[in-house]
Amino acid sequence: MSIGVHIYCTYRAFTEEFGINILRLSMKNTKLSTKSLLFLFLIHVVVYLCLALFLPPDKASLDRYNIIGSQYYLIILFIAVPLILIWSIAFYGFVKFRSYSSSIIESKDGQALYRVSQGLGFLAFGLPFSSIFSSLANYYSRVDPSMSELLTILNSYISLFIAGSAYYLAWKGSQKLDEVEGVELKPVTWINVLTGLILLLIVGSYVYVYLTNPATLAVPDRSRTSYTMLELVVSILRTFLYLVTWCLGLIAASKMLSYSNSVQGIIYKKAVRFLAIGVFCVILSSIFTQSLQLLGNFFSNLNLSGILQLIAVLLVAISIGYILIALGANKLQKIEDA
Amino acid sequence: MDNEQGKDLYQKVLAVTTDFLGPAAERFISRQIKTHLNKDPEQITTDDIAKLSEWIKVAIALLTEDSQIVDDFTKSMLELAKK
Repeated sequence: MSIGVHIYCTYRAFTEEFGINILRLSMKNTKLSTKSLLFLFLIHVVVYLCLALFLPPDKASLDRYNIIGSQYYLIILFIAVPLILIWSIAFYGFVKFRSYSSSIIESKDGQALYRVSQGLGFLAFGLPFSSIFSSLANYYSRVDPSMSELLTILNSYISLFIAGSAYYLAWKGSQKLDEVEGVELKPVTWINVLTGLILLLIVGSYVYVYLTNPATLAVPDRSRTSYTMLELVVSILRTFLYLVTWCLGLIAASKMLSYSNSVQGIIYKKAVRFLAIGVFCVILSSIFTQSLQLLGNFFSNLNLSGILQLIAVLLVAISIGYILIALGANKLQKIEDA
Repeated sequence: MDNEQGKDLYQKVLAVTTDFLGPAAERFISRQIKTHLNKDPEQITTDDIAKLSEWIKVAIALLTEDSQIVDDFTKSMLELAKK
């Protein structure tokens, strides 16, 4: 029943807050109150904790690492507490940004920044949602191993949907920054070079992996080394879609930085710079996290613990990004309240 | 004629404020004029500039710790009254 509540609440968030009606595939401007968003967020946290604490542990893992039941739950809490802290910081940053941008929604800069905040909201809610789905997928894969591949693919496409929606909304918002009066977005060379290099690095990694060992990306089951042509095509399509969404995200991030560079106003500029750097940090870290998770199969043969540590560092970078967003939004809100 | 002068003066005040507050300038200055002078922004006169500058000084001081910025803003506003 808790899963049903969670799915319903998430659907409501997507429909009412982000204006995306999944069933009707339509978009409109409606929004939930901050209290409703907080309630939805808390539902996510509670569901995650319930799953973490009440789903039976994997006996094979317990035996492999020689862990008894109580130690397992301590480890779970050791992971869950910082994770929930990071989600809370992300939620706080999103709410502050959203609150500021919706207070000036009548103006062009407000409309642009509100769309960007919606994109960041998708990422903020996506963090706990992905963890919940992964927990369920891992459990059901153990209960019914034949479901493993399907659940892994589903997990990957849900992450793609969240990332795609987030970066699309951020990109739409960043495009509107061109319409802000008195702002002439000047491309900042080092940002464009950095964005290009990042994209090149990610594309290069995927091309390298496909050429050396396509099975690691084509099939989700690590024990398999063979793959069908259909699996390879589906994998390439999924990678292509991810690359497109990451492009949108990087364009949005670089446009935010260009905006903070080009905009007038000594005081306004200082405040919006926090926001822009925060957005850049969040989007960049999210892209790197997703690309590492997608390449996880490949890296698992090398040094899985190193990759997990890197993902942990990226999650911390995401939370730092949201803190900067909250700081920037607070400074900008002070201008509106003065 | 007064209406035109008011509009003209408002645009100059807005231009000065934009140098400090960018896209937030129009919202900020409209709010200050409506709240503290009890008039529409485009009805502002040169006699109002001194009082407006005082209120803006207080508001800007809350937004920045740099006293030079506060002084520059106030000075730019007061110069509009002399023109």
